[in-house]
Amino acid sequence: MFRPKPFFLMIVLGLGLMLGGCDRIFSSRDRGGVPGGLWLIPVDEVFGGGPGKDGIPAISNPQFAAAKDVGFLADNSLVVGVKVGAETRAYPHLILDWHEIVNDQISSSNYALTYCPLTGSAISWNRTIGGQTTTFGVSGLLYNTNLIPYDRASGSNWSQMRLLCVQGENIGSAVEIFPIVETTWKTWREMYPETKVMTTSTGYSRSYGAYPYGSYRSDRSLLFPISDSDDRLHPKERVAGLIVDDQAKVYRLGTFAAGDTVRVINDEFKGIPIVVAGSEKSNVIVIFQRSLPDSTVLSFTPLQQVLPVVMLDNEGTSWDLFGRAVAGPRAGAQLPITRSYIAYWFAWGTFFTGVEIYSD
Amino acid sequence: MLPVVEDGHAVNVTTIKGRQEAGLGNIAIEWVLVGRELAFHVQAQGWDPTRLSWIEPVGQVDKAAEQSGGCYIQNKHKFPLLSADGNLRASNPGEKGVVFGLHKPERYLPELHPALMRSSPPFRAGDLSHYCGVAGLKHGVSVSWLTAQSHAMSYYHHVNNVSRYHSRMVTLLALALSLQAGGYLAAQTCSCGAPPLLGFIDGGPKDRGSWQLAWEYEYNDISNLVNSTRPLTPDDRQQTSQSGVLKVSYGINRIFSVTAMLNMILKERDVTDLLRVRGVGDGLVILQANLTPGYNYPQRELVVGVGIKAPIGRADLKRNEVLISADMQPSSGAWDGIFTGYASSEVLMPRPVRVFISTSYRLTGSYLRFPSTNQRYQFGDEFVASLGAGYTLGPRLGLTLMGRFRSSGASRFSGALIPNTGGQWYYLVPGIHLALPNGVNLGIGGQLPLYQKLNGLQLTTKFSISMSVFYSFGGRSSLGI
Repeated sequence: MFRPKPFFLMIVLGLGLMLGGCDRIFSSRDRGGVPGGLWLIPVDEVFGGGPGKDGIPAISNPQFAAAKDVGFLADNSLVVGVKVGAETRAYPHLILDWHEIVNDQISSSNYALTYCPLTGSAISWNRTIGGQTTTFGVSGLLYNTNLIPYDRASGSNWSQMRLLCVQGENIGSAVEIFPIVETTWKTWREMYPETKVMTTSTGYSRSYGAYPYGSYRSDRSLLFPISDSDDRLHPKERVAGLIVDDQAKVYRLGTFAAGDTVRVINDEFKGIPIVVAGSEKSNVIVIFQRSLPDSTVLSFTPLQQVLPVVMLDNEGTSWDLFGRAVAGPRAGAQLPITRSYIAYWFAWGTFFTGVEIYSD
Repeated sequence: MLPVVEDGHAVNVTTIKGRQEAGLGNIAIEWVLVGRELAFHVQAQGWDPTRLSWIEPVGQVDKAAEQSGGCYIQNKHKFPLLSADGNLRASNPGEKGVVFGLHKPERYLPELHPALMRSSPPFRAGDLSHYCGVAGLKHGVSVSWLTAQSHAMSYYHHVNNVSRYHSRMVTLLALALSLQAGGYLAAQTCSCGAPPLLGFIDGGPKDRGSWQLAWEYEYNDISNLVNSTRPLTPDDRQQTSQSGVLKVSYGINRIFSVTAMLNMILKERDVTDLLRVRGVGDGLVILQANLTPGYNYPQRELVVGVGIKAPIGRADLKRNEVLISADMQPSSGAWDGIFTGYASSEVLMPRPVRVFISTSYRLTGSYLRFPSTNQRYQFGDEFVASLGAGYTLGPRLGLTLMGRFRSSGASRFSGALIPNTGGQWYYLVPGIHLALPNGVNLGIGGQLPLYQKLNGLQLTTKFSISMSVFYSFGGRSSLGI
């Protein structure tokens, strides 16, 4: 038997509940939600990566162990090495893959080691901005598939590969890069046997032995749109790149394979003399300026079998992978840091249209 | 010799309580005569239809008995109760009801009981007899309980309240089991993002012109963190999904029915900041075919369906001009094909148990998630299977319990598999269902994850609870059967 009252009541209730819930989106700005406003990058090319703000938790209190006590790293595991004074620390990729940002400090050096597993880019920069030391977190946003960290002091969003604050209170501010060396665990611990290694005691529960993105780092697939595509190289080939005036030049690891363990390239880009030292065997490439503050332009030759020392300048000073003069007339000097890092080829191609590829 | 009662009077009969072996195999008749009321039942086990043509109690309609909860038969014919040893006629003298039983080989019933055939499908040879127990004898005791052969159910529901409630409860169970059957759509990084709809597909109405109207709400706590099969300690974040589904089903005829559904979604993700998204999700239309029309003895059904899911709501919501992730959008954004199968059967016990199996498959389409680069997004195909049972505790209360399996393919971006999406889940789904007097039925259920094997690291369901309200009407009976 048809009873109209319950029937219509249910229809009205159901439709009311639905129509009352028109498409709406709400976020708590007071709790650090993404503010609106100007972006220095096309905002329609910025996407939510999935986990949300701090859905990938950055590490702010890393724990370390001595190299001799570390058993979870294979010889060919990639690590990012930091050296401040006499202290060296290694940050394994297999931890960075899960957290992307480590806020750390050695002596008075406060740095955020950022790593984007989707672009394969590791960059360390100063956490002290405008006189205030802050920490960085993962915003959950991506630009050209690349990580957008945010600083917790102002909530501003920074483009990792652009090395620039692209939205928020600090918009337009450039990061101050700190030199890092990205290489294999075997190479790093041989260079620095007294190094400390970040452990998996991060305070979070993760499967650190597993790579979280399947075959991504070796296949040709991407997970998010990019603004420009450059097919000259395999998209996931790791190349070291240099940025000058928003243009870039990259150096392939294979360029450093010619017999010797270490190769040094004295080059120039956009009028700036640079030196590129690398070793395919040791899986390392670093880039510095050859011109010193006193206007001296050095030229370099490789040194073999003495890692981390890799090159000798024409004045007789030997320099290590961190651009530090370790012996000779300029011992203790520092080669000027460049805006350079290693990343996947496709990321270089999309961030820097027409990127130059070094060839002999 | 059996007592004879005519026209409501016990003639030459005093209070008798006894048992008569009918001599026709394993058939026993028990009766109680209290005052002017006769109560009896027939019990048969493994009877040989070749030896017994039919057994049919006779009686007269008593409207008062119907309204008061009595149990009676409506029959204009009088036939011998037994093919041998004399006749027995019994009547329902008043408001206290009567106990009776019957069983019937199919070939005889159409000839003898055309009135019954209008409301009862043919009996099948070999069916066990059943008996109807009615509480309410003034001076006596209720006898036995209903074993609910479906032919008797459809017959009873015309004639007595007890059977009506019972039939309704079984229908309630069937609908409730169906509403919990299947699974829900899933997606992406947590594989639970897309609007749930598959979980609300049931066997549909079985009668021409019958309607089913349902509203179901589900709350899904998606805060378990799992890497493949390994549960991890959850981070300090909360993610929930709430959905409301409005479903309308219409029986085109005894075979075909059509169902339309629309849902609304409320999603929340709270880590450092709170993201809350609300909106209309997807719609779904399914055409179902009942492959066992009229198969009511015992009540069984096999229903298959094909349908389409339409992206009614939005899948391009932005927060401060930034497109939010696909798993947080109200709609899945794509057109999908839906294929369903549903089968259930009554299993006779002291109270009837209904067992069922339900399957559904969603063939997903892709949608243009990134128009600026002309790149498409696609949730993984989904398969859901449920196996369960429902048990009636009384005229208004039923319990259900089912196991559910769900398999979701990985999502794709521009054809490439997206890591940390898709997987397999196993759930336990309990439920309680209540029939209200005005034809509205309520259900409360839950979904507890037992095991999962995910692709990579994902947030997944910790638990979910659901509440449903449904109402059926129209068709041949008020119960929507």
